[in-house]
Amino acid sequence: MKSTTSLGGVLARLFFAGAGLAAWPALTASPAMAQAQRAAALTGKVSSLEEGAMEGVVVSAKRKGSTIMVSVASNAQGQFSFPADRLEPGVYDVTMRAAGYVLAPTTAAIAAGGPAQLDLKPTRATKDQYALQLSNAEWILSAPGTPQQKLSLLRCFDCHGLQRPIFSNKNAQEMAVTVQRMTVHTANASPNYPFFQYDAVEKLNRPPSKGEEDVGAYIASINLNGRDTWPYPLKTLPRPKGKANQVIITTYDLPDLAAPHDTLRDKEGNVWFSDFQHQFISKLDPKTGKVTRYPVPVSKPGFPTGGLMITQDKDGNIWEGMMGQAQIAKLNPKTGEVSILLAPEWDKGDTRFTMIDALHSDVDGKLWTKTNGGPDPQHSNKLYQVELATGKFTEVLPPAGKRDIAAYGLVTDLENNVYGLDNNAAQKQIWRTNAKTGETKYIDLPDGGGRRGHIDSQNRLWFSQFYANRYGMYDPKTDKVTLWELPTSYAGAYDVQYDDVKYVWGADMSTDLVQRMDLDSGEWTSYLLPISINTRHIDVQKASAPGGLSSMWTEGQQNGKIVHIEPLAP
Amino acid sequence: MAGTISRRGAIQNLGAAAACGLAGSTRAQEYKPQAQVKLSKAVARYQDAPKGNESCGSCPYFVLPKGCVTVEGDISPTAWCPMYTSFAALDRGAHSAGR
Repeated sequence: MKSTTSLGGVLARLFFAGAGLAAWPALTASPAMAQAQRAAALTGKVSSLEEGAMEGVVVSAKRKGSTIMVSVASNAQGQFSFPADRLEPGVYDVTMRAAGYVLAPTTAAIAAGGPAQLDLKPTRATKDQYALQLSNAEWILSAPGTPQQKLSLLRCFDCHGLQRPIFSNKNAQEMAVTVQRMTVHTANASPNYPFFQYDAVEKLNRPPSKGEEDVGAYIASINLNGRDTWPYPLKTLPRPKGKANQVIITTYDLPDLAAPHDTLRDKEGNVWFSDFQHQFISKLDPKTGKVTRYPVPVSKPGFPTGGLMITQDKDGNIWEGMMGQAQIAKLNPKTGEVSILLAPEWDKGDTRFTMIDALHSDVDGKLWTKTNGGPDPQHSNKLYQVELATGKFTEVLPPAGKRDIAAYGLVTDLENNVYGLDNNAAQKQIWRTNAKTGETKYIDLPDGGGRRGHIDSQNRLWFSQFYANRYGMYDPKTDKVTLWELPTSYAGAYDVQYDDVKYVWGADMSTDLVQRMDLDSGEWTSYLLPISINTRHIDVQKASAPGGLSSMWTEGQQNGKIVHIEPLAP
Repeated sequence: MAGTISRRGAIQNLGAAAACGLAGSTRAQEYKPQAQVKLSKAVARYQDAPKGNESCGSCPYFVLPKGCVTVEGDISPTAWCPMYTSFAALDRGAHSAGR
């Protein structure tokens, strides 16, 4: 991470505002709680002229030259406290996040032997600064529009934040052209890697469709087309209260434009991650922040690079689905050797992998994967079992008369059967394919599909509903689906996982919040992240001792971060 | 907090972000492992003339002396296409402060 430049300082002031956390309640014996109860390295109070003591301000400290940022949040008295074992002695940049406020560049010198004291006095953001603080969800909540129109915006932040369309001055016609172009970028395109589909020129050789025109007209009605201001009030969500502020969040900067999509913490504590745009299997050492990248060779010159799902088998091998390269990459962490398997139709059209799951491959020696694209547009979704010993692919066909077994997320259960989560909002189903018989069962939902998920120790499937804004759980023993509405609208729910004790964790692409739901009480705790990161896959770190608390790892897909969220209170 | 925001002020902020990301977009190309598909000028709706104050020369996708990351062929710095943006390539969202 480069040191704070003048621009960095400006941006930091724009995006952070905040204050503290003080007397940590002695409620559990969790590791995080124990840290909180130990001596503090830095304490203080956040207050403003407008509010006095400010609760729910995320305060961050980053040692100069470090790639690791530690964040806490202020309590009802505005107090915050950084545990001593999280901040070594040194000089730290201190920033904060509280919508509507900014903080002048601030540093803190932390010495051994006693806590440093630093009171923060944020000032009101200007209206321009405030506009730059809104999350994707807050833009959607602020803008007028029908639910259908607002849902159309959710696709924007697959690749970039809503600021791009919202701050643009394009009129309806120009925006329709832009919306049309977005349909020919690859799924892993981004503004700094604007990959196009191989047949993009052919696909664009037509006028925008009616649907593209409609979305273009909607965006042109809420952007800066022909006006100097947005014609609606900008709204932000309320700052967190209570236990949502009892948390430590650690943010790791990744090098060289890394674009982490999935994270996976191994037994040794390493955090593995896929890179959405580069040919690497990557590893973060959370103790040092060091990142190691294992290169994966290119098989299809001219086609997009990068991977999506990462998974680990019981032997410790790391597997990653390399999308546009139509490869499954395997890393032996002990030797550092990388090998690849190519899809059966890897060299035909835009055949590509997304999801692979080897987590339960020890059951039958097979992993599950699927391809999209390929030579046959009538059969573009293909589900495969792959024998690990031989690399042989066997396609599992849909039932006679049924559509392709389409899915975004794949999740294997404890018997290595596979669930498919179709992210098509019009498909009110998820499905499960039996590993032994190849039989596929369709599971009906009231609306929406599914996006990503995990299996728990009771062999239940937990899944997100991106468009329907819910978390779901399917219990195969009862054949029953249970759904929970998210506390924030238009969150873009991406992934959900149960900690096998009490809490359901989830992350979304829109709100900059991480959700924890108490399965017993139904209580939601929404932790505000110190920066906007557009989270995707999550990995829950289960409590290391009875009575402890689980924590969660996720990633900033669009700005190269790995984030660890550690609650301090049940 | 609610209210109206001046476009001039917002654009000034965007300009700052763009200045940050231009350096980053150069780095992005260093990590781009191979050439990718580009659009033809026709489907990109490329035009030889600028559009107001917008022209290829000030777009982050312009590659000196006469190229573009997304459009094939020789590109004039005074031309324009609808992919023109004032956002830096690295700026993918509202909050790039951590980078």
